[in-house]
Amino acid sequence: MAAAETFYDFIRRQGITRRSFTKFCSLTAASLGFGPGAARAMAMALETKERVAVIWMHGLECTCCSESFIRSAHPLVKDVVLSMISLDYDDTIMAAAGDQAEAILEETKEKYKGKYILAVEGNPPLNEDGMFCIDGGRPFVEKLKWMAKDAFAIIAWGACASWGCVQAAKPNPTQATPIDKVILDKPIIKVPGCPPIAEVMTGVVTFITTFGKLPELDRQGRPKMFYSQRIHDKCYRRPHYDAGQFVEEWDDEGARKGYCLYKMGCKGPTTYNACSTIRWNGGVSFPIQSGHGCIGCSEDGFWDNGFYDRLTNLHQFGIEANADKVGLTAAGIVGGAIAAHAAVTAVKRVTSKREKADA
Amino acid sequence: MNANLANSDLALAVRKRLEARYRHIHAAMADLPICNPVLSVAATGFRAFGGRAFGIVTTPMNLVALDFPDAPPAARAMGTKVRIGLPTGEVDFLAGELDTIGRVDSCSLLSPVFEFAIMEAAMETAEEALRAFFDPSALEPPPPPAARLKRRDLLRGRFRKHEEAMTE
Repeated sequence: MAAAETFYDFIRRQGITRRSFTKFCSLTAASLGFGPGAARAMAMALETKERVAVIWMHGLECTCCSESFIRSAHPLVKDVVLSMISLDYDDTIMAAAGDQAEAILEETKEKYKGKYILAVEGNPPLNEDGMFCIDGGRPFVEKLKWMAKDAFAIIAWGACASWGCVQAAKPNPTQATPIDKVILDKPIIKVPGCPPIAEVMTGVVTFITTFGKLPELDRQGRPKMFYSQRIHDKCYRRPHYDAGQFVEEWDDEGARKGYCLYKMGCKGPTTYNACSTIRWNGGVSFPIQSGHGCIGCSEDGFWDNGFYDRLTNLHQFGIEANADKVGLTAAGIVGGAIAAHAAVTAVKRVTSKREKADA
Repeated sequence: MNANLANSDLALAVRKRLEARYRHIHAAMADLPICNPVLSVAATGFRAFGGRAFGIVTTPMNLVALDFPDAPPAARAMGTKVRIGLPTGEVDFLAGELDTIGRVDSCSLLSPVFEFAIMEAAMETAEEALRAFFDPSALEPPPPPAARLKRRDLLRGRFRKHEEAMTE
């Protein structure tokens, strides 16, 4: 048993060429918003560092996160990222079953103590001592705590693991609980969405396994590189909002012309996600582009907010609380340095440096 | 909306028409909870810039940078991205159209705008933002202190380069 097999050794053994490997590095670096220098750093890390094991567990969930993940348009995902994960443990896509599968967990805990990544899809229900979700003969919450104990960090996939999602919607009979309320002593990175965007998922897992650290997180524990933009700010229907042109009811003239969906309950103004820039299915479209308002699936408690209820109190939704970048208080700006700060922050957000555009 | 915009009087006229247009839009949106009641419509710093007019409009709904390109209105579908080079860098605008005005490219800076307690603060923010768009140094962190010459540089030939640079 080679003690320190690198990721590069591993994929070479799988028959992936060096050319494909460098291409993977540069594409991934670009999708994470890094320059060409990062691609070299990434290749270097993957060639020299010990391969990071990933364990993927499923609690109360619908597997839409896995479905999304395996459809990442990133050309080499199926070759590279999946082989990085399935080798260890994932109930949905691994070949092992039964006792053999459970033995992988024991082995990983031992062999990679304190070094493996625990990716969790879904959440544990706590009611009735966790009996609403049994995994491998015991309550999922126990298994989760047991695996988390020796993990280096935890990825909370989707709205379920991050916030609770539909199983935690009122009245939450099983007492489904997001994992950061159960695991308190490990770094947790939240990748919310129902499901999260495929390229965001592969980006996050690649970043962590490559660089051996978590990407920069916002106050809610989400990676800033993907969750610092509001749907509303990058929405292609934004000019209609600015011009006061709204869809008043489904299938009216405004709907046909592609007007703003705010009045139909679109949650774009309170939702932080990359849908309006990365889009879905390889960049083909996203919900608003198909004529339906954003339901805010990456925000806490979206099931209880009513998909078609118009956003009424935007203060209450805490725009400022969500946006790290606009560090403004609800108390109100009256001028001076705070106004200048707000202005420069806003301009910085929309401006990209010329050097970057040329590169 | 064309090449004549090099004339700043025309930029002023654009501003007047825009304010009128946005007052009209706001009248239709006033009952929506996205409006900040303490704010009103005002255009800030409209100027001719490279054959187009550029400025910021403050409304009770938003703070938005607008750009009037020298192009026919139907040249681009509404909502497509238009990358515009400003002194501070490249900024992505969305192509759009306003009734009575024509083709307008917009870039939202803040929306909604409940953080402003008074209109003057919003105006001040608009002015600062405009300054930031036209002043490349506004977004830069302060320059690092000049590199100190090390003795080792003498061996690497950097000392001579430094000397040459100084004498030029």
